[in-house]
This record gives sequence, C-alpha cells and structure tokens, in this order.
Amino acid sequence: MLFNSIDFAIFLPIVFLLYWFVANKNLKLQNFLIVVASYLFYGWWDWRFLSLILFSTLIDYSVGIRLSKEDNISKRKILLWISILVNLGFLGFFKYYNFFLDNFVTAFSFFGTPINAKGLNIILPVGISFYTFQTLSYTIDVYKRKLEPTKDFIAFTAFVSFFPQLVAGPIERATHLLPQFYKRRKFDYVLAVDGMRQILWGLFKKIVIADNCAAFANQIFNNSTDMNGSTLVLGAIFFTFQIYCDFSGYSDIAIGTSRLFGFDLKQNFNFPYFSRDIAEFWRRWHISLSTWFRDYLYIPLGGSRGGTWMKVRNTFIIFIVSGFWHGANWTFIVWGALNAIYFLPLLLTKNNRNNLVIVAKGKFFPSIKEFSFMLLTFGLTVFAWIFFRANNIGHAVSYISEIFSSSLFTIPEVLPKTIILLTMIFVFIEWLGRESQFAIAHLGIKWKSPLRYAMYYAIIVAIFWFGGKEQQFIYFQF
Amino acid sequence: MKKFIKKTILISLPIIFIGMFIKIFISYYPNTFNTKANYLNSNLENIEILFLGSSHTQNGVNPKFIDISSANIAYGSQDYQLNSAIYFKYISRLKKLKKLIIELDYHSLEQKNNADYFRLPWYYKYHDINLGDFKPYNKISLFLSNPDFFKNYLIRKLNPQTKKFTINKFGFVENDFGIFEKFNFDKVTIAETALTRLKNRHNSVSIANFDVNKEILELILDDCIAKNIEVIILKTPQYLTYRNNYNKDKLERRRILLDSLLSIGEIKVLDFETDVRFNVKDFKNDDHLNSKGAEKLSKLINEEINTWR
Repeated sequence: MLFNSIDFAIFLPIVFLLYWFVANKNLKLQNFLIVVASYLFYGWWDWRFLSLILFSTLIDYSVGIRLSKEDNISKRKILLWISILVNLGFLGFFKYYNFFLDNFVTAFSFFGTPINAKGLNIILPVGISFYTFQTLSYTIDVYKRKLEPTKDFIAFTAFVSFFPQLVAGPIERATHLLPQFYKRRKFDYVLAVDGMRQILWGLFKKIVIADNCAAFANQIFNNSTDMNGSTLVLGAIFFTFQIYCDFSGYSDIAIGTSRLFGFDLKQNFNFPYFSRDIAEFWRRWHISLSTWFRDYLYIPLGGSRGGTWMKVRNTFIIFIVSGFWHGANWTFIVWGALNAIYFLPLLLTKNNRNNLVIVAKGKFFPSIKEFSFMLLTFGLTVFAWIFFRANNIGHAVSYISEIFSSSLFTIPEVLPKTIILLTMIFVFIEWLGRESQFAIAHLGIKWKSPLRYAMYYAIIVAIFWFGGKEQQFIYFQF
Repeated sequence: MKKFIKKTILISLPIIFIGMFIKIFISYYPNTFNTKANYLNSNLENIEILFLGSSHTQNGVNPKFIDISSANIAYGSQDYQLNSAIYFKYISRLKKLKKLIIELDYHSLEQKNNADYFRLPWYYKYHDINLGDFKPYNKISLFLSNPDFFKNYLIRKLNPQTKKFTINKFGFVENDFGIFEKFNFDKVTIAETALTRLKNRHNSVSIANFDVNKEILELILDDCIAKNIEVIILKTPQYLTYRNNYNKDKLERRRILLDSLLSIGEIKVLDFETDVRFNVKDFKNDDHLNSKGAEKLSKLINEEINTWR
C-alpha cells in the first residue's frame, strides 16, 4: 500500500479509529491491532512475502530469548550468527543473487573460462533492506547486552512490522522503538496535530516536488544521448530534488503517521542540501541508515581509531557497503566510493565535525562563505547522484562527458518553468524551517487560525493540483 | 481526541465538498462516454446497428443520419480488445441487433493499448468493463484515476473562453472542425505542416499485435455469424497526407486478412478510405473527419444499408 494512494487514505482512518476507540484500553490489543494492520498494509502489495517477515520475526525473537539464557560466549556468537545469516541470507538471495551470478559469469569469461549460468527471475520483496536491518539491530543489541530481550512476541512482531516505517524506514533501533510497545499509548493532541502537519508536508514533497521532478529527470536520463549539456545538468538537479523529496517525504509521512498512534520515530533527514560539507551532508541524509552503519559496521571495524590506513579502509568500506545496500548495481557502488572520496579529506584533516549545527542558525541569510560551501557541497552531491540514477556505469560516464562539453553553455532543451518555480518555493520553505524537525513544524503555528488554515489549504490544493498519477516511492526498490 | 477528530473533519469538509463537486461534474456533465453509455443502455431493446471502432469511427459516424436505430460505441484509441469487450458485454441484451459495423482502418490491426491505458477506468465506470486493476472507488471518482487529464478537462469545461462542444443524444460531437479549420482548410499549409503533425503516427507496426487482434476480430465475427448478425467492415476516409506515409507491409497484412475474411462470404465491406467524395473540408485533421464530413459519411453508409435492405 502506498502512502500516496486512496487505499491508504481509507486504511489509515479505519486503523486510527479502531486503535483509539476499540483497542485504547488494552496494551496487548493495541499491539495486536498494529500487527494486523501492518500485515494487511504489507500484504496489500504482495501477501506471499509476509512469510519472510514472519520468519525473520520468529528467528530473531527466538534468538533473543536464547541469548537471554546463554552466558557461554561461543554459543552466544553462534546464536548471533544464526540471526545474521538468516536475515542477510534472505536479503542476499532476493537482492543480490543475480548481481553476483552475472559478475561471476563475466569474471570467469574474462579469465578465459566461460561458464553457463542463468539468473533467476526474482521479485525483490518491498522494504526487505529496511526491516532486515531493523530486526538485526535487535539481535545485535541483545547480544551486546545493550537491550533486554523481549518475551512479548506480539510487541516484537509489532516492532518488526510497524506499518508506518516497514517498507522504507526510518530504520528504527530496537533500543528506541521496542520499549514504546511495552507501554500503553495515550492519545496526545499536540503530537497528533504535529503528525498531521508532517504527513501533509511529506505528501507535498512526494506528490508535488518528487513526482513532478521525476517526470523530467526520467525524460532527460532516458534520452540523455539526445540532450545537450545544460539539459543534462538540469536532469541531474531534478533527480537530486526527486530523490530527496521522495525519500524524505516518505519519512515525514511515516513519522507523522506514527505520531498519530502515539509513537516517536527518529528524524531521518535534517535538511541535507543545506550542508556545508559532505560530512555534514551525511549527518543529515538518511540518518537512520548512516547511524546504523556507523554503530554496527564502522565502529566494530575500528572506526576512526588507528592509523591513516585504517581510517581510509573503514571509510571506504562503510560508504561502499552503503552504496551496495541501495541496489545490486555497480552504479551504487561507485556512488558510495565517490562519497568516500569526498569524505576522506575532511576525515584525514580532522575537519569532518566542523559543521554540527544547522547553517546560519538564528539568522535569515547565510554568510557568503557558508553559501559558497553549501553550493559546492550541493554540486558534489548532484554529481554523485548521476551515478546513482544512471542505468549503468557507461551511461553515467557518457552523461557526464556530455555535461563537460561545449553544449553546457547552450539553452536547456527541457525547461519546465512551473516545476522550477515550485521547487524554488519548496527550497525557500525548507530554508525557513531548517531549524525545526521538518520544514513546516513551526511555520504558521502562531498565526491566526484563518491564516494558518489558508496555509494548510494552499498545500492541499497544491497536492491535488500539481499531483500526477500516484507513483511508487524510489526507496521501495532498495 | 474529540477535539482532534472534530478539527480533522472540519478541515476536511471543504475538501470533501470540492471533491463531491468534481465527482458530480465529471460524472454528469455530458461527455461522449456517459452520453453514449446512457443512450446504449436506454435503447438496448431497439438498436439494430452497432458501430465499433476507434476515434476514426467515433468522429466519422453520426447515428443521427442513419435511418435504422443505431449506436456508435466507438471511442478514441479503442482497440480490438476493447471493441470485443463492448461487443460481448452488450450482445446478449441487444435483442434486435442486425448489423455490426466494425472499423478496420490502417492502424486497427496493429494497435493495442497497454495495461495502464488511461481511458480504461472510464470503460469500467460507464460500461462496467474492467480490463485493468481497478478498485471500487475508481467508479466513484474518475478524477483519481487520471488527475492530470481531469484537471485539464475541468479547466477546459469551466473556462468560458474555451470552445464548448455540442454532444448530441448519440454521444456524437456536432461542432468539431479541428486543426484543419484553423488552417482554413488550406491544402498547402496542411501539406507543409503534415510531417510535424504526423511524426510517429505510422510507427505502430507489430506482428504480435496483429496476431492478437486478428484472433479477437475473428472471435467477434464468428459470434456474429452464429447469431445471424450481419458484419460490415468499415474503412473510414483518410486525408491524403495521412495515407501518403502508410507502411506498405502493414497495409499488405491488412489486405490479406480482409481478403480471407471476405472469402467467408457473409461479410461486407464499406470502403471509404480513399473515397474521392471526401475533400479537405470534410476533415478535422489528417485521419479524422470533422462533423460535416461525418454527416457525409453517415449518409453514405445509410444509403448503402438501405440499398442492401
């Protein structure tokens, strides 16, 4: 079920009313309703893959229980590895099987030993990368004794399958989300209103900005050989806004929806395109994934401790794995490596933690220096997104080659003025709200009701007016 | 909680009202789909001639000029799959149907709509034909099935500056003169601008589609023969700019099929494709007749039918 679908618009109020009017007196019933709603939400897409989620849930729940009874380090390790292998096994099979097969075949052919192997026609279960990481965080934290294993199977099932963030995050940590299932939720008016505002803003980002930018980004990327350099730059910028608004829009709707049910999810995006360097960008982009990799991969590998070589190695590993997490294609790996190259100079010169607070905090305008660094970081990000969006490495290279040709200085062949104007308005609103959790979190809060309502209606009208046909979220494929 | 629900309902009310207005407007403001569907459903017992086809027939045949009770259920881009769906949907209720006039133009056999063809929800709503993956609410709100299209539709309908089309009770547009009128029916301008207008118009060549469409067409024809319904193949008039670029292989495939159908002996053909009685002033664009041309074609078809009686 898509957040931007009529199905969801019908589903959400029904679940909301049942949750607060039927199940509100009983914690078990609240959790059970969430499980049923979540399985229905996921099964709406393809019910067959519910068995995968259920299996992962059973494995990790059982491993957790066994870990609580086991003190022997070797046996604890075995239990941990069972969970890791099962979860990453599913992920590896569904997402990477054909990629590895293709590359093995190519490699063997290259070394003069051609082999015959056919790929499988595998459907990638929606959200597998997200819930796999979420459930893994539970086992690892229990193994590290950071978290008491749960004995409440329903609560655990609800944690793994919690519908607002099941298919595209934010990837929640068990330490943060699971305890929320142990307490009966009470309706909080302020939280719910805040949730509704965040849902509204998320829908605006997805439907108005992302979907409209997508139409032009697709047109340009799909016909890149026929386009001039300036159009290709525009195409990359459209994709830059598409991916941000698509993904952060989803996160906003997920967080907002969770608030309606009395849950607090972690912020996943914190105005990344206002970053002054790549390190800051990565502290603000897909925060739940970056911190997951930091805590469960980077730090166990040694992090920033050790010599220069260790730092370089660990940085490359984390960025390449992060790229590979996004998809089984070399383009994602190059995208990850490119970001590592951007990041390394900052790490090695110890400048990676220079910009910890949002740009121009408390001010309206940034300084010229801040603006220049923002522009530079944005440019580097746009460049890296070309690899992310391209069909293959050859496509990315030819795309970039055409950008750096004399045609860069010609008038773009595609110039959708309405979308450009809408995107500029969007950037302006994001700039105004950059110190909040989401752009309109505080916008208009102190305005008189008619004015505030006018703002809501303006956003709603924009959603209906500029919205096209419902489009899937990009991150569903990851 | 009560405050939250009250406020949510309050803020939603104007949206619900606007949504209802749009729903009612789209559903009930006369358009070719609802008018044709209404006409067909209220005259099922009387209709003797059924026209099926694409926009060529939609724009080319005005049942007003046919003496025998007729319905023209041809719509833009209606492929054989949709023609067949309409035929089999209504055939059991068309008790008096004597003739099926089905279009077989240049494009007919090799055109096939995709599963996400944007007009499929309209067939679902107005003819209860579900060839897509539609939900019940697609019947309630057509707007949601294609917001982009309906936004433009609403602008066109509600803007007093735009030309309003007159739709008669048969669902035929009686004042559509198209781009050729804008060119003052000037042959030179029409010829000069033809290439731009017809770009990609003749690209749709597909043996796979041909095979599928041939099979569907034969199914319809077999059913007609079994039910003693006379089948007439209609080739609508096409302006020479359109005909000039025909793909010869595609044309040949159609000819062979048509010959094989005619060899059955129970099928007639009304071939107006290159009929010299149609001149530039009868066309609204390169492959569609305008309302005046449609009157001419309808009267010619009527004459032929009367001759056969």
